[in-house]
Amino acid sequence: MTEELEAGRKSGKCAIEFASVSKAFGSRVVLKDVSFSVAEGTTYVLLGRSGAGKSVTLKLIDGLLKADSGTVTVNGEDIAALEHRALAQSRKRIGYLFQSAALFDSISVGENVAFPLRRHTKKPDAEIRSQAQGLLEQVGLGKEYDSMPGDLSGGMRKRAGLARALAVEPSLLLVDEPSAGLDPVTSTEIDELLIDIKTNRHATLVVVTHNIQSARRIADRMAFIDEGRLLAEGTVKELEHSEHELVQAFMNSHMGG
Amino acid sequence: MLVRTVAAAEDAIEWFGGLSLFTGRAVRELFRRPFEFTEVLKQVFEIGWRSAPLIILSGLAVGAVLSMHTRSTLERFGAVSMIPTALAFALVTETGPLITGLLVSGRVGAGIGAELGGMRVTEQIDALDSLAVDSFKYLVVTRVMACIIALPLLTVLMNLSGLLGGYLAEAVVSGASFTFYFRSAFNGLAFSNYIPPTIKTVVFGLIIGSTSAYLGYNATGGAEGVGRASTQSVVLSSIFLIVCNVILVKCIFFLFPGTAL
Amino acid sequence: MNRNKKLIVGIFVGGCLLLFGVGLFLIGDSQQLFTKSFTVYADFAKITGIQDGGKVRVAGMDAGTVTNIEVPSRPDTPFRVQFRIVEKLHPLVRQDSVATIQTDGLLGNKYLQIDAGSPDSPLARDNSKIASKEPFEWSDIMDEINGVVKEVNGVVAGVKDQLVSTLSQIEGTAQTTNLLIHDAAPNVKSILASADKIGANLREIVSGIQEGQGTMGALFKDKEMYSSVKRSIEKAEETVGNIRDTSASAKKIVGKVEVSDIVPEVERTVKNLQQITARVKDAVDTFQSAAGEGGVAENLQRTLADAHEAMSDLSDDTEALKHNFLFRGFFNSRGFYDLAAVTAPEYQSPAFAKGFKRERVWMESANLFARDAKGAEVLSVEGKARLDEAMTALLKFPRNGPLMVEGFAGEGTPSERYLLGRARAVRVETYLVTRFHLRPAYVGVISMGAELPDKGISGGFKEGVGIVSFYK
Ligand SMILES: Nc1ncnc2c1ncn2[C@@H]1O[C@H](COP(=O)(O)OP(=O)(O)O)[C@@H](O)[C@H]1O
Ligand SMILES: [Mg+2]
Repeated sequence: MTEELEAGRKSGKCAIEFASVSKAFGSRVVLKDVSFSVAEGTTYVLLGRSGAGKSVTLKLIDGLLKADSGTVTVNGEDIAALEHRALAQSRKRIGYLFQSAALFDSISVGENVAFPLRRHTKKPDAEIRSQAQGLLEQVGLGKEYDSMPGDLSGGMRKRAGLARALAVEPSLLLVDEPSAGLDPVTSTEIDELLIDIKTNRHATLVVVTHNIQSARRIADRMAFIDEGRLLAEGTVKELEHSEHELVQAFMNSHMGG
Repeated sequence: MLVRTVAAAEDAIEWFGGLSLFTGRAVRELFRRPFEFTEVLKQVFEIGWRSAPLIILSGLAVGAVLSMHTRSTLERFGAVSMIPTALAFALVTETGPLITGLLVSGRVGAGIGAELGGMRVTEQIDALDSLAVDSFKYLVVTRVMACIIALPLLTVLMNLSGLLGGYLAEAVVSGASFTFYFRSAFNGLAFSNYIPPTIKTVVFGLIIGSTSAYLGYNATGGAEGVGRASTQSVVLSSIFLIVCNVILVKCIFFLFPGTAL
Repeated sequence: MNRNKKLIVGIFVGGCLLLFGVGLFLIGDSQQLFTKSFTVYADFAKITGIQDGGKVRVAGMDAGTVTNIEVPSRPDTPFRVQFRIVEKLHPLVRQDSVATIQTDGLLGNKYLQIDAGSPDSPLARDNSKIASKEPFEWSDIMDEINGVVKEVNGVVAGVKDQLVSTLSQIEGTAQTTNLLIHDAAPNVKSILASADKIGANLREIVSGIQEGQGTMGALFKDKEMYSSVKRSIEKAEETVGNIRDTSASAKKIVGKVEVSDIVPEVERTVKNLQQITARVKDAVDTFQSAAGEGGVAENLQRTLADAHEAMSDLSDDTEALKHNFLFRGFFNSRGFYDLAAVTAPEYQSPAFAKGFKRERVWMESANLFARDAKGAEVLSVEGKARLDEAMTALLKFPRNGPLMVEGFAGEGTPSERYLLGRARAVRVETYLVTRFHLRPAYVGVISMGAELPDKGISGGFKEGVGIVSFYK
């Protein structure tokens, strides 16, 4: 598997590439000269303490934020240079699970999942509903189609958000802390789901997580971000043997979530 | 001290510039595809229909009060028969549009500020964009459009319910006939007293919609930021509305010299 | 977004647009936009603020709107005012109809008034021109007043002559119709009293206006108007000064300011005057031709009764005029409306002639009156001399307020005291008015007989008169 990956990387089939990316909000510098790349069809896990800039990294990939300097390339295109329509077009195949789930709280959970389908496909209503229902069942929320997002627990909202992200049939899936607020069993199920998406749909995944066990399970490669810098980058093994104490401490902790 | 004042002034000007660009963009997008018809309808429902009870009740009260004042003034000159005309003139040319604008900026401005602010801080706006939906068009343009549609309509409601309130107050005192009252109310008006002041509320709608959407759409700082966006929406859109009204009235006088008394 | 909501939005938007349309319709309807109409125009040198969309009335009825005002390119060409009139009123608008610019009420908008034409004249054609009369100027009115005043003067003089000759006729035939005269005397007297009072009232009003008092006076005081009016006033002054009855001039002034309810009153007054003239003439003729016959007495009686009624109507009318708001300011500042109507308690209240200073002279009745053959009190020669002396002192004070003659009597029942006090005051007043040519309306009598305290006033003074001059 590793060789295959290496081959993929060498052949230049990079889904995502960060080249010396820096990002600051006012005087607060969040990312400093960050470079890394994610090969197509692999899962890339971002680790780091909270506030390190992981969510910002995901938003940079989706073009929701623009880098101050450096380039973010997604599927071979400089995301900052894309004009409005092209950006929207490329986003149609990117799924994004936000850290706060970001369900639209004026419509039901099921309609949240159906939303991208209604916007971007011309399928009849019944088909959209059954598809959304199916997605909800995949994340274990089969009974919640008509619930309002405000009535769900944090973990349930997270899963509904994931269902919505999957509805676009993503070739690139950005996942921000999927297991936060989930019990270990459901957490494992979600991990299985993510692995399944990668292997069966050949999607590229970028996952932010604090759950080190989950990270080990799903990651092909991982990166450790701290104070805006990429502290370490590589396979699970490579990070376990990192010279940075912080990274080691992180990798060897058994905390979950 | 001076430095700080200058900095504050710079901030204010920058903020205002941002608002202007935002409004300009909203206006431009009003005429560009895709038109989010369903969303606009939904917003007209929220902003127009749901404001109607407030507007009608206020209109009745304002009309009754204005009528009583008008009566006590005109009685002194023995010009009681002028009451409907005087009330209609006051309502239609100025009071109706302005009060409607202020009421809507209170109810709807706060609503839009809070709603969009909430969506911003809970990443719902980002989520829309990530789902390849233009959040600006979907959220901002639809609301601005709905405000522009709703304000003239609500002004019509305000004017008529104001006249109705005036009629009720009059009926108690003098038992005036309904048709006679409304006929003589409109008798003193010209088209130039009626159409331009009603149409000008389109600008009020634009001000309320874009100011509150700007504040909500760019809210930062969690729940507190949402609250701030909501209150500032009301305060600022009311102020802009009142100031803009002066300019609009001047413009109307310039374009229709007959309307000036 | 379900269908229900869409329906509601549809109803909301549609309903509001419909209501807006109703407003548009009502405005359009009030401007007669939706009724068949025809267009005519008229030229004016001055348009005194009439505007596009201004109202047009035919014989007072709302009939359409001004559609266009063409501004002249040269100073010597007039404004061309074009206006629409509803077809319904076309029969009234003839080729000889005249357009004038009028004011709606005292402070109202300008509108265009089209007089109904004469029946023989053909209908005004569409897009034709009709005649116009320029908006009035105050100086024009004053010229008119001058004319009217002279006319009225003639009429009044005629009436007076007729009355005088009637009376002399009556007197001339007194020997033969003694009984008749006896019956007629009170009527004739009261007619003369009424006529006198009318004259006094009107003279007061006119002189008040000339002095710039009251709202009417204030209108004349207006600087701009003043200059244009002044010359006319000076001309009018002479005439106004010597007339007894200027109801017609008051009618003209009031009519121009359009206080509609006064106009008919005064009009009636003038008609009454004319009627009296005619009646009295008739009476005189009849009396002369058929003196001594049975029917005459009855005839004369009726004539006099009618004349009396007409005269008292007239005096009521002028009385009402005094209370009209246009003149009210003047009477308020004068401090009283009618001295003849003042009662003793009113007279004693501080509200009477508020703001006036007063100067008083007491006179014992012993020094004023002598008894005639029947034992009634009459002014003695000595009394007249004393009155002259007292008045000379009082006339040194400004004559801008009332002069009151108080009558006192201390003997008998309250009503006896009242009557005697009144008789004394009246005698003194009659003498003073004729002797010093005082303005009758400014001289009043008041009997203090019934109000007199038992011990008398001012050092036991009980019998006599007090003369009080009020001044500012
Ligand atoms: N829109 C924003 N405006 C200002 N600061 C922001 C914004 N988004 C994130 N930040 C700041 O950037 C830093 C990194 O945030 P984030 O990427 O969310 O952290 P995490 O690694 O926990 O996901 C934080 O200090 C946060 O306060
Ligand atoms: Mg985060």
